[in-house]
Amino acid sequence: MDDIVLEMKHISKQFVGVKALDDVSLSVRRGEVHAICGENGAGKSTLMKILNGIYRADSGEIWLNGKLRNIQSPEEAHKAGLSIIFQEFNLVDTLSVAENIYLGRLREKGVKLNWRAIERRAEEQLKNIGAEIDPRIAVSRLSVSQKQMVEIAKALSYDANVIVMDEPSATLTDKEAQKLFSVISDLKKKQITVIYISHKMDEVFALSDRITVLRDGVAVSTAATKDTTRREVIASMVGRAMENEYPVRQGRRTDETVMRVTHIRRKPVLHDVSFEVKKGEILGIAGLVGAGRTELVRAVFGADPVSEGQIEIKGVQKKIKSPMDAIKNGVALVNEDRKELGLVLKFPIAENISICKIGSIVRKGFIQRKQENRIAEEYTGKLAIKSTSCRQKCVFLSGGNQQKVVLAKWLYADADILLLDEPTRGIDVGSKYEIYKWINRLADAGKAVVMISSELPEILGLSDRILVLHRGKVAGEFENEDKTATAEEIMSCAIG
Amino acid sequence: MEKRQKKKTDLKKYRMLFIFLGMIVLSALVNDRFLTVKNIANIMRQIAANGILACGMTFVMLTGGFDLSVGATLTLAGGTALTLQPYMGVGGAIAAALLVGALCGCFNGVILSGIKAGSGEAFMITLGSQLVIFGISLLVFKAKFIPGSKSAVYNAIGTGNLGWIPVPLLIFAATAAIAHVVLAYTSLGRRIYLTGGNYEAARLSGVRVGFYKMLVYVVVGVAAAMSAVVLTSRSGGCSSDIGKGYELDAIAAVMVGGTSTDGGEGNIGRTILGVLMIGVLNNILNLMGMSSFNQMIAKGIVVILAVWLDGSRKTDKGGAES
Repeated sequence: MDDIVLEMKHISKQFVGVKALDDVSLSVRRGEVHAICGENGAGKSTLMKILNGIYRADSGEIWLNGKLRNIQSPEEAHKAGLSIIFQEFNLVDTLSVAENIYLGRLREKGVKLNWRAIERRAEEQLKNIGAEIDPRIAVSRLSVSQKQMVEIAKALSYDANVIVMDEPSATLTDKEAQKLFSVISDLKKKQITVIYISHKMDEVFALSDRITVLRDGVAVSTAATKDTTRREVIASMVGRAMENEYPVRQGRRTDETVMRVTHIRRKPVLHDVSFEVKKGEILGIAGLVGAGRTELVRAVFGADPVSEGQIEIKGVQKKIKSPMDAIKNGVALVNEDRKELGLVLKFPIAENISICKIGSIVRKGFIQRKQENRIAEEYTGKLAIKSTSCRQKCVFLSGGNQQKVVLAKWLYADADILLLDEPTRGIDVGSKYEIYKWINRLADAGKAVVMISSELPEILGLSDRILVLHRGKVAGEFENEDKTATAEEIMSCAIG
Repeated sequence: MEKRQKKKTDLKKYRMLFIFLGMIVLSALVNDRFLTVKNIANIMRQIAANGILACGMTFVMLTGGFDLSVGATLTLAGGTALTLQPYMGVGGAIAAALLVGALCGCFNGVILSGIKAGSGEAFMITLGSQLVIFGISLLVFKAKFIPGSKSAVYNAIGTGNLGWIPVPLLIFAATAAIAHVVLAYTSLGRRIYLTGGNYEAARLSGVRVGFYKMLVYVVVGVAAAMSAVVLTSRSGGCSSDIGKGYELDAIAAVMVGGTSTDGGEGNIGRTILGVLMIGVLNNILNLMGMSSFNQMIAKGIVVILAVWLDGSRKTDKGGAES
């Protein structure tokens, strides 16, 4: 009785050392809107990229329209009846709407293209979904919403009966989103299946027939939308067993405010964010990708210019216009991208550790190399950085050890306020635990720590207080000194 | 395994030195006038101007930059040094020439640092400033040949000997020594390396990258003016095309020596080797009586080879990274 249009069976995919998908099965019925939800990095995009032939699954089968498929490229996916509309559109700005819709398929009889016929067909496709767009104008002149319509028309022009939309409403205004939803309902009436990827619960519940939740590369649940609740979905999105993954702090935070940030703005991502952090406190910052977390710490650090806002450090108003100003005032930033922004990879460990305080190893203008090496050895020892010598180039270190060099550099710079942006991204479990211990130890030593993480358990397990950002604003604040905050409340706050 | 790897990189490190020694042996075999004291002294005198310029160019290229305008700067500074001598004396005129060089460099530096230029933009912008500076020198000196200095002191800079050592070689050696000490041992040098090693990471670690990116162009501008003084003294005058091609000789020397175009890697030692190689190449082609046209072709091939070697070095490194 179920007419299954797409079935993915036991799909697994491993990237260097990381299991991105672990035995995921998904079956989608003809004509339904099937929502796929999950945290950042849960494996949604990987699954879709496998479906589209961009990645190859290590194991598993894909059945589409009744046949076992071996999809090796987006073209083959198109032929099998499947189209994906990614967040960042695949349109050529300088070409016309019609050309974009029929891009790569402009072969006609003879040498000359029959532009009129192509344009007419494009217009028909657009009319089918109720979009009034002139097929002759260049895509660069369209709004985001119109571009999306062109993408949908393009997908339909392939005679796709399964269309995947990856976070389609992320960049739309509310009105534009409404338009998108009505197009989706129309598609459904035409028995076209839509796989809808989103973390926005409102949309998912308004649109979908069924919801599948992915977590850590595993499909944890599939349920009919009418039989489940928002709460349940969020719970399965975040519900990892909270084992003793996080070291327990020895000390406690104080009441002394070290840094107060007020009304910081940076267009178009930050709209009026204020927060403060206390001596010995670990402040976690949660939020979805694009909520403005990285932009916030970069703005506080002086890495990007801000349009408005004040920063007070230890009760004194400071002007922080460059990273140099920040460092002078005892502020440190551990970037999310340590290879590009955190380290000078082709330079030795020692030179990366001394970088923020070169002045301290200089006598009369000359670098005291012995002193530099001594300092580097002290810190590589302290942080247990595995290396052949302190003159070894950072390129040759593992991710975890590289991150420890970044930490060592800020420890040597003797910063009082540490801004950590995804401090454990892409590093192995063992090094992660060591970095957690260092974060605790630094807070115990009276430093103020602000930590961004996309991994909720990490935020919940380490922070004394949690700030949730949503679309460049503070959406909520949760006390967590006794680790009482729940993933559900943070997640529903982050989703907005 | 690891040991063998290390040995391999050590050999690579000295690759250029071996090629240089090979060049000398080959030159000596091809032409018996090559290994004479007179000829060696001649080479040393000839390489000085390019050597000084290449030292400055090393600063720029260590930050990942590029400067095509130094030949024009050389012409403008050379004309300044000769024209002003009757009014300001030798010392004053040389100071004025150095100031002109610094200003030209500052012009490039402010623009390039302001727009946070990569090497592509640096290429185009200094190509533009080359035209501007060359045009200014044509306007000011009316495209005329400026006769040489009447001062014995000034003429000694390019042609004199101290004992048996040519004075221009001494100036080159002193410049190279200072440049080496600054780059290898001072905080200034360290910050220049960091700026080229990873601009954004250095900036986020509190290094004033914009300032150092500007400063290196001033350094190469001053170096161009020093070359101009040596060159106008040696050749007894300043024609409007005296600096022509010097930018390429300097860049070629730095690259042949093995300083990476990416920035952050290289040193003055390599540049000296590159200067010697280009000098020996020019010399042997001259001795063999090759026309300047053929020399041009030979030099072009050397530059291409150097860039190609730099590319292959990069892929080696890529292999080590992954």
